[in-house]
Amino acid sequence: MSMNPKRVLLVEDDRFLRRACEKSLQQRGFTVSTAPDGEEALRAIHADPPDIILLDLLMPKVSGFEVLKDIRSDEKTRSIPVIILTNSSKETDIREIQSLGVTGYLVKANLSLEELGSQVKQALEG
Amino acid sequence: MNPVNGTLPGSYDYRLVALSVLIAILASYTALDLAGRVKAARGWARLTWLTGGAIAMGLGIWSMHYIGMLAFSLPVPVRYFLPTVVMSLLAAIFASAVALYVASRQKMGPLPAAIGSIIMGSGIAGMHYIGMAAMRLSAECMYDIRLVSLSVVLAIVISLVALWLTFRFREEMKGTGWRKIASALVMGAAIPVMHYTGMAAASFAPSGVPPDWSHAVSISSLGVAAITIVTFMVLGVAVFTSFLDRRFSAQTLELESSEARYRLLFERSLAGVYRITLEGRILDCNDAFSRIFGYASRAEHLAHAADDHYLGPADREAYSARLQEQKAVTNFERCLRRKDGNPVWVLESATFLDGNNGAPGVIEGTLIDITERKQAEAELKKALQMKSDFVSFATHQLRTPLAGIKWSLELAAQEENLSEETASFIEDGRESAQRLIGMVNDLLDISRLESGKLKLAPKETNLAELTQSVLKDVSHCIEKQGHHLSVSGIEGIPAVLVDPELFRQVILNMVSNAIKYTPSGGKIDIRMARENSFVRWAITDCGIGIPKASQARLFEKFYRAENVYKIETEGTGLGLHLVKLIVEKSGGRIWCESEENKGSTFQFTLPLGGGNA
Repeated sequence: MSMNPKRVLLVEDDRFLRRACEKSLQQRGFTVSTAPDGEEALRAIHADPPDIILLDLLMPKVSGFEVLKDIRSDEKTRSIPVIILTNSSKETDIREIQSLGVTGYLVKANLSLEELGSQVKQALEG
Repeated sequence: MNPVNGTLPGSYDYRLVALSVLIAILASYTALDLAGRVKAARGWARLTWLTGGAIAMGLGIWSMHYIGMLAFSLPVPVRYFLPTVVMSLLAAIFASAVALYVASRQKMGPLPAAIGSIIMGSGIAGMHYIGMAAMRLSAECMYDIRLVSLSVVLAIVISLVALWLTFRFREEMKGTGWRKIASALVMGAAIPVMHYTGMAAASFAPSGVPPDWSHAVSISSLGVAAITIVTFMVLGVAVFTSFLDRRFSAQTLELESSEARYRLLFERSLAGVYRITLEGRILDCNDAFSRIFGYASRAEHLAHAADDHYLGPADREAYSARLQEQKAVTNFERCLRRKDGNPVWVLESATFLDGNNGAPGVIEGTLIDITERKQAEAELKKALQMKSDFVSFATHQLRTPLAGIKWSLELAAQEENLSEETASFIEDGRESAQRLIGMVNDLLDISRLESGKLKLAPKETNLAELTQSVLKDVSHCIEKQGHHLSVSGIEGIPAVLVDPELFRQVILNMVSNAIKYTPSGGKIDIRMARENSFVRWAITDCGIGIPKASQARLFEKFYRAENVYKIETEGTGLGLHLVKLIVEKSGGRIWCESEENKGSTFQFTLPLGGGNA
């Protein structure tokens, strides 16, 4: 993290979660940009692909699924690691997501910011 | 008889006398037997029984009489004038017919009894004296009028007794009841009394006039035998026929009543009962069947076309094919159609019966209407789905702000220069948030385990390692409470096939309970052991224990033991329920043993090699 701080895109519609998460990742030395819904996320991703995406699933306008599908279908963005951050633990969601290829599937309520930081770091290194 | 004043001396052959009495008894028995048959029969059958019975009985009485006459021998040759003999036989038959007629009526009042016995008695007396008149011998027959009168009176009295006995005992259905035999003995003994009185009334004076032998026969001992044999045969045939008839009519009666009984069961059954052809045409059904299909009556239903019951011809053909192949179905549920076109769900048991000799086969079955149950089931399913959807929605909605609280407090706790008090408030807030998240998670897991949406992901899991990992997480709590913890049996615990994430929750839950309910500085014991085909995991605390009354309900959802409020009031009563669900879904068993104020032991067993995937 010394030379080039890694750029994280945080896609989250709940502003409290967005704020806490952004702050925590910044404290760990990441460059964080945020998007409150899928539409804005896609715009940001295509304009300037980040190093990693933290993606919520249930969002207004364009859902996390749509975003993920879009990323995976575009040559330029296909290899960006994605960590799903959700509060849903429905089996159907998990299966669908895994078929699209994600680095992690984390349930927000069961996750501490410290653990999140480690997961992001691990994903970028691996 | 003594020869008096030049009368011819007569003597009796007592063997023949005995024979005559025997015949009288047999004839009486026949009369009793036949009266019952005559009474049971109707119309032509009754007339036939009456005629046949009268002939058999008349022959018996007549035969008794003639054997009695032949038992009496005179020192002159005696022949019998045939036409008169036949006349006497007719008189006997007439008397018997009257007797059977009177005795076989539904009721016997004093007047018919009196008239009947007078006619019958006169008939028998007539037969006797006509029979005497058939005698041809060179002697003159003289009568003592007093004895003749006595014999007639005896004949009438005996007839009355005989009628009464016959009427009284005709019903005895058991072929040869002792009462019937006793009656036959009384009657059979009484009839010869009349005969021998009549004989005593007659005396014979030699006349020297040669008798008229025309149309007269002499009766040899061979003749006696012939009369006897024929009489026995006729009486025997009568009794045997009566026996057969009684037997068959009893069977017919039984068949009729059994048929009637089953018909009643069929008609009054609450279940619909039917017989249909493979094409679906109804051959027979009961009212319940018609009601189920919305028809006002069975008659209206029978007139209806077959396919009306089915959702379509293909539906009927599929059912017929299934029955032809399987021969029978039991507790089979299917949807049919009512008269008004609405669907009706039925629970059915049916059998396919092959037709004999190329006749078409039929389906016989019973069914009940389960439409209401089906509707209730569908509604219940919908309600369960709604509940499950709600829980999943609510937990998702709850988790988002909870994560907000949790993360914000986590950041706050990292701030530097917090006062000690502020830091402790933040810690309390974090702990509360964590507990709330725990509850929401438990609720969600229970809901998904119960609805089957949460599928276990079993892996080879080492319980000892899992236990130690959990103990590491809670070590600060144990230290804080000053508990003494011992763990035994860690070595050599074979791996079990369970979902490690869920079993982590199980062990954590049980360890947390032990910590929570044991007073500070108490002892907590965890033991693991392999036992035959399963692994046992047990934890013993020395806490407040669980009252007997609460033990049985301990694993119920939302249940909390009665004495738990002494220790703390938090907790939802979800933990142990979830633990039980997980253990049981993994093929294991969990239970607790406890004594109040001494402590509790919770243990579960899991099959080796995995019980459930």
